[in-house]
Amino acid sequence: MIKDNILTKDKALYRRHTRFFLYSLIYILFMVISMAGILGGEGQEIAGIPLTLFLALGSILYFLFLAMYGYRSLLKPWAEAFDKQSGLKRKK
Amino acid sequence: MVTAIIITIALYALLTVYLGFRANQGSLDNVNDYFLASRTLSSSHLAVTTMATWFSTFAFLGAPGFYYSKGFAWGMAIIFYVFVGVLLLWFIGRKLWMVAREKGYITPAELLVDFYNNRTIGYITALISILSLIPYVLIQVVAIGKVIEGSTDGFVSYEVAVVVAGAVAAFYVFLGGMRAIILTDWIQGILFAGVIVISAIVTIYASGGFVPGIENSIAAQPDLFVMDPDNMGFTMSLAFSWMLGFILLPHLWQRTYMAESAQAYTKSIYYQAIITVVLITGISITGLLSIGLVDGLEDSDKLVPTLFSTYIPWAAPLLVLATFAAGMSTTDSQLLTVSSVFVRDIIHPITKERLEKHRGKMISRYLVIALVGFITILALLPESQGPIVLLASKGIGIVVLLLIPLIGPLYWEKATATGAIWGMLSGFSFQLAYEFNAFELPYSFGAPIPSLVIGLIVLFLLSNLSSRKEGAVI
Repeated sequence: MIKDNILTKDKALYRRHTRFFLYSLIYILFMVISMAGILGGEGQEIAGIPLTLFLALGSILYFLFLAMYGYRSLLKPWAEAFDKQSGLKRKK
Repeated sequence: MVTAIIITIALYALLTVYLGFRANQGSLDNVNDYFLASRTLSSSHLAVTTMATWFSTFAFLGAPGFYYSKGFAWGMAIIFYVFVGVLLLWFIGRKLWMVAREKGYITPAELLVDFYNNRTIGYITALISILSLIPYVLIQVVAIGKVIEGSTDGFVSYEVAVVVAGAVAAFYVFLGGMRAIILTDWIQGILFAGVIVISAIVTIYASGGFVPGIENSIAAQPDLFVMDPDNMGFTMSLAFSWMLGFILLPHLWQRTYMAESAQAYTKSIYYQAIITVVLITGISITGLLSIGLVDGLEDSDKLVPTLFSTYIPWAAPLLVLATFAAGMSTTDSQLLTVSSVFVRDIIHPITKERLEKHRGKMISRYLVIALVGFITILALLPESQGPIVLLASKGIGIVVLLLIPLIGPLYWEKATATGAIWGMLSGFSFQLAYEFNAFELPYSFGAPIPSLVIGLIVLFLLSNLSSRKEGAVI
């Protein structure tokens, strides 16, 4: 099995990975609820504007948050630790 | 206008051929370089080549049209599959990159063969890779032929367009392999991303602003702004199968192998997130505002061409060029991947001959030519413009079955070859039975996701009843 030694050894990073996974899961659940028509169905409006428009806008903004939060708190430090451990360097 | 379109396409074709020559000069004489550019991609190169390959002609011709004809049922699906697909690059792609870098894998099958220590899994994976990619290439080539014939009012016939597109792709892939593809992906990506952004700006301008445009669209077709629970199967099937396709389609799977370092890989994920937000926003604006702007269009694929011809007719050559480029950027990668699957997963294990150096690259190059010839002949058959293309587009659902054996190396070391093989075969049988109308699924669900669930259940049950073979490498 493919093991990620960086996440296994660094407990703080592993916690961030778990948190990122949970945030991603919330995103997937939110989208599934929308696609199932539970949100954004007939008659669901806010100030006369269909709820689907807010759902689409919310899903784009939440994804942007996920990308920025995930990269800064998890992906970047993980990659630096991995490259340091394996002797890989990014070409400038 | 027809002359301008022909000159633009001809200049573009010459440029890609020139880039093929340039890439050939900097390439090394081995298959690792030919298929994966020696795993030396920077973050920007990796992000651009993945995006250019993922977003085909469908992204700017089909996607806004789907919004226009199906409304938010489609809109939420595209947002889901593109964004969650990018997240999978961390949860799945990261591990693929790590192990491929360590073991030197080139194709998806090589990883699975090493985990299960079983050659049959390699052949099945190779078969699924080929079955999923060849129809996909065919769709792109047919689309290029139709767009060029239509935009030149038949002056350039469908047949000539298909042959020229095939020849150009074959030429630069033959010469420069992955290095040529990456260079051309930059131009192709910028072109079709430009068309998506321009389309959005045109619709906002023509609607008198974003807010009035949305108000017009809601007033014109209020039912398109409501999610319909009766069609949730269609939306979810599309969303989940294409989301998995983002990482499981073999030409995209191979891209996870190419980063030069972990920092390059993770930064490319970040870039891809930003690029997808821009493109999805552009596609959504174009599709949504067009509901109130364009009246009674029967063929929704013609939405963007209609916008261009109505509001910026002088930009028609750009639209045709972008269509050509988007088709090529997907086709070239798929051709190279199918060639790598033949060489690494079929020829190499059968002949037991090491094909690492010059000989491997030479065979791969001639395979690309042979594949282009085969696809061109298929595209020229009258049937290819009708039902075969419909069938082919359904064939893409097959690729989700690759997740079944991949569960083992990613998450479950107890997975066995018996479980993986029968899991894939049972999922495939379910899809075949569905396609031949043996049964129907409720809520307009398609076959890919239920077939994946069945395959995973079979994997779990049979893995618990069988034992792992000794000698697994990973």
